[in-house]
Amino acid sequence: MSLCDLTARELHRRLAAGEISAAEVARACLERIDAVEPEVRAFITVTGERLLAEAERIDAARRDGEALQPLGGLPVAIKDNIVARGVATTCASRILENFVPPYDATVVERLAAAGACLAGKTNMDEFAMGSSCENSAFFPTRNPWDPKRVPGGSSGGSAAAVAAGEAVFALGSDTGGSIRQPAAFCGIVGMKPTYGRVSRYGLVAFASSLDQIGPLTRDVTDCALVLNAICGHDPRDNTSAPEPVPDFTDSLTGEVRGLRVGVPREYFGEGIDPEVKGAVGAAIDLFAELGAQVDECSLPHTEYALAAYYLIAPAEASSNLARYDGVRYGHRAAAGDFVTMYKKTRQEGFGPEVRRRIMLGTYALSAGYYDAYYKKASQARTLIRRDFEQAFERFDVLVTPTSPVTAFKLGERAADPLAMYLADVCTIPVNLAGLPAVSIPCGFQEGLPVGLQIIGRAFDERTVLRAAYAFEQHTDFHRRRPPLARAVMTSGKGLWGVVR
Amino acid sequence: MFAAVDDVSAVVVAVCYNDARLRPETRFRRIPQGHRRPTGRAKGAPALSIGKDQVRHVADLARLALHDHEVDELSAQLSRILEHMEKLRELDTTGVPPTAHVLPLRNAWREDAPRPGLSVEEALANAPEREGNCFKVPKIVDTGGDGR
Repeated sequence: MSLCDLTARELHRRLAAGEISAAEVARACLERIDAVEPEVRAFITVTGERLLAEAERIDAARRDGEALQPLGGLPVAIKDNIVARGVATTCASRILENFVPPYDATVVERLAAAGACLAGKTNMDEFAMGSSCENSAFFPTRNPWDPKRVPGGSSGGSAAAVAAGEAVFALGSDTGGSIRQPAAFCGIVGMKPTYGRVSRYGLVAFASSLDQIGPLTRDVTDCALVLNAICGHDPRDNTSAPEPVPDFTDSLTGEVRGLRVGVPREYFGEGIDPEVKGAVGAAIDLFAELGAQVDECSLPHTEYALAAYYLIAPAEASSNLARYDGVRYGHRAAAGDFVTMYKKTRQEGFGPEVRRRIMLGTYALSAGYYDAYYKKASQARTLIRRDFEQAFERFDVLVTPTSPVTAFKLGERAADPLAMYLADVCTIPVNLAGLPAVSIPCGFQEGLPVGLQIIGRAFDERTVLRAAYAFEQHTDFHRRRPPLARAVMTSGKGLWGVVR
Repeated sequence: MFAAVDDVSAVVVAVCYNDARLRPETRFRRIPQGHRRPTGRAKGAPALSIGKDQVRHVADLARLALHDHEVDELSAQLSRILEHMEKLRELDTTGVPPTAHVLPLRNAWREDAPRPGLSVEEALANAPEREGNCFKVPKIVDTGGDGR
């Protein structure tokens, strides 16, 4: 096993003990990137020189007697909608193809303070709008478990990079499932923290009342370690919550006796693949065996979540994306007068899905339709929140599938926007309610990972992680590595014989 | 720039903007109340579809130029998506307050003290076109056409 296949916690232990250097870890990741990237294409930008320089700086500081920071020397991949000063941030869009941000996102500052080293910026659906990474304006990313299949989206590059050993952990953003669904498709851990837990300063806005940054990691412990680094109030984000931040690793006891686990029946109905249901069902049985009190419950307004989300999110997006006007940054079309320039810039710069959502959102907010669509959706959102509030009077966590299906094939859903929207049906309600939820691997179906979603009360990530960790301690799904990474480990070459 | 701070309220701004633009000429075809079923609708007759003129009008509001074939595609796609959204009509939302935001936060205040910001060069570094210390844009007035 290469260093780049180890967990953050294990690497930290070896680094702290002086068994390995940060430069060795960085080189292992860069070698893996060279070997698999022609096939996986997880990255839009690889910051190899910066990674090596940062790692060497960490090693030098260690030689000078400085203590190793919590994520010291660990290569991180960051979704390309989170800005890092001086590194191109494209949102996988033509309109930002040449944009170089002049400042760091708060999470980038916090990761740097914790010692993490930037490996690169990852591919995504354009402006985080999509569930397969196929909406990237540049190229699709492929699933390390099967290159004919999508890695999920929109944080598909981040998920694929972690699964393939190209980075030790990654950051993504989750507006309707964009961290959890690709984590499920790629067999890793992905968490959307409570809305307001992580600063959105420096995250390119899609739907501001739903967007949240979170970690994609190899296991639950790593997830807790990254949360420790990135959570906390930030005065530069007015929607950042002034809540105290606990040590998330404290809750990893391996113990779930007496934990009240709710199983909302609406998440196991029509449209959920029977094999996914089977794997999630087995996971629920394991919780019961471990002494949790498992019981069925109902979230009766679940069936309205998708419609509410696909009105609210595009409405917010249509407003947020008004800033791309070809004036201050980004692409500008060559055109005569100002309005024509503005319209053509946006036509040339935005891909089809982004334009579709701007249209949908503009329509939903327009006079005569505002009450019927945007307001109605916002009221449905209240009912969905209340469902969760009532369920959490009886339960500590709720468990569901993360995605109704395992990773689908490239092109399979690309022609039908509505079919793609349905891929998010299990994750969307959580964003509407602003709650924390994690996806962890809970089984395999024909060689493809299945994800289990664990949802918690607002600001109770600890209980979510406690449940996830206990499950992980009694299973080995999180230890499996995709065939791609295994082949590289043994031969030094990519599974498909591609070595750059 | 990409400030995460004010964009929730920016939605409200957009609403007002769209309202003001649209009210005098609501060109969307509305189906009379009595013809609507509470759930679903008669086969082959979508309760609400977005015609090509409406697509062009919304694109104009959103400042998006569209090719002709895109107008056709969007008309079909948006109609199908909105047909799915019709499901919301089943819901009785009488007296239910809308949720614009999940956190119980009100205004977040800070001291009105000077802080370091971007330098002029940094702020202009990504500009498609600049002149001196300014962003350069095409002429706004006296363009004729729809350059209102």
